[in-house]
Amino acid sequence: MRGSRNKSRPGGGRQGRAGSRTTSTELTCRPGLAPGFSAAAGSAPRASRERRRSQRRWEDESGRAEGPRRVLCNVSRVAVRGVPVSKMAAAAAVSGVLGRAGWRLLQLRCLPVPRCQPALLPRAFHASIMQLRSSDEQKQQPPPSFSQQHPETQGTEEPHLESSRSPPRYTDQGGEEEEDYESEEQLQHRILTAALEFVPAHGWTAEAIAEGAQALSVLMLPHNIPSSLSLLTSMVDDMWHYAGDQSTDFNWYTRRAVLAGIYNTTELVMMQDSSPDFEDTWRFLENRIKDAMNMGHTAKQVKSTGEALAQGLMGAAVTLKNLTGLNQRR
Amino acid sequence: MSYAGATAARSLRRLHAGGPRALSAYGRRVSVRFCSSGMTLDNINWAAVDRIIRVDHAGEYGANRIYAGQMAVLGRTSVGPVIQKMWDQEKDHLKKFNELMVAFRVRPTVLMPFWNVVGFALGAGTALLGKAGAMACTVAVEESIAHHYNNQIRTLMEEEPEKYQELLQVIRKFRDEELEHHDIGLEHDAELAPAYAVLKTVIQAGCRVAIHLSERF
Repeated sequence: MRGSRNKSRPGGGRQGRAGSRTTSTELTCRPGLAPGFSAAAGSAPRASRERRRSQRRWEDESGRAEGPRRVLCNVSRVAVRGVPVSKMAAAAAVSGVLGRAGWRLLQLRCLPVPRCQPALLPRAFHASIMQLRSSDEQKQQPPPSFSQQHPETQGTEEPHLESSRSPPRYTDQGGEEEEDYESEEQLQHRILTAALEFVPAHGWTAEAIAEGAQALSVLMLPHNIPSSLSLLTSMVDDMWHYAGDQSTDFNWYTRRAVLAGIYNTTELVMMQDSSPDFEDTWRFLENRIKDAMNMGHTAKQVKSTGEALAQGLMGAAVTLKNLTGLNQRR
Repeated sequence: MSYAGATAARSLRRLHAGGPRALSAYGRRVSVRFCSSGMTLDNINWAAVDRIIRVDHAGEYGANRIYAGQMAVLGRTSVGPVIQKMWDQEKDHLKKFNELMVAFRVRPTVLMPFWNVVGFALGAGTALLGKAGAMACTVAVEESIAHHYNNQIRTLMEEEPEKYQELLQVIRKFRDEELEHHDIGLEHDAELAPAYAVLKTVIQAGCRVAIHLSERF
């Protein structure tokens, strides 16, 4: 625990980097999105630091039902300090990927497999922020090993917030704005990379990863599959939403499926990655995202080629009709 | 401290009072800010709004494709401009629902590609029956849609009209325009279509099935 507290100092450095990233991206005022997020973004680093502190305090009193309530007290303390609860909650919302589903999953997990409590999976750890909101569902007390994964969740909030502030408008129905596709994918890439980046910096030890593998296997239990699927879908939906996806046709589904595949495979790679600083995982992730982008481009090319071909055939047919005189208007 | 904790808990609970939702409902509440309509964030019936927007989006998309099919066949005839005008209005409707869909983070129906093809086929097919056939299709579809919008308006009004002001406004406006289309169809001799009654019944039954499916899938 002490060790992880020390490691939060590089997190402070990262705050600075996050700050610089803030200034470099411009604020796009998306209707309905900008007010909450631009406010939340500013307060996010501070808020997450507060929350990290509050949660570390919480982890010391593990195993008690007061855990969530204690976090709430800390939340209120933060609120008194001037960070409005709503803004912090907005920041939490970004990584509120798993929200109640994550919390429910925890309950599910803790009931059938009590032995595995320490080995909760990474995704469920995102839900640690959701302890704040689960006061009405206070049935479980997350185990002490939560502390190691809390920093990861803090990390995922910040990159989400940063990238959510400049979402390129990308729609696909008319095939418009195709050139934005790349920037959006790269934004997406940045989200994923940044999110996973925070993990090692905050003391994601080898044991935690080993436990993570066990946790993944718990996820795969038939009993847990529905909730793990809903966790995955809501997380992927959030990722795309904050990357600026505005598709309203079948693309909505294909994109989420592709991203879910990328995320799952990257997570598996990370579980068994032993290279320094997880270079292999990042390289793998970049390659997969590049593949996905290529696939998208290829699909579009195929479509436009097909359309051109169809038009050519129609033209040929009309020419033939004219030549043979079948098209005479009487 | 316990008092402060309770206050914080209460405020958080209020923010989150939308009922148990598995899918990142909190993200929705932050991103939806209809400041002008006074729609509060936390007590909307998300499940109902989800369905409403999904099925309306699918409906407008289908109507779009129907008119596209009709224009493909009858575009160069005398009734072409009429159909074009109605088609342009449907395009506006679709654009509006696209925006609502993104704002409310509603997922589109899985059957979008299917409605793409079926809509175009219906439009082109009825247009091949002649101008009256196309108008009959328009009358049937628009009547169905207006009825469906009325149901939605009723649902939202029964809940609490103030919460859904903007959505209600949109649906009412669109329903009025669909009724206009219906009247235009009647003006242009829809009833002279071959087997008008049968055609109308069949098309309206199909619309009911489409609405049912799009709400759920």
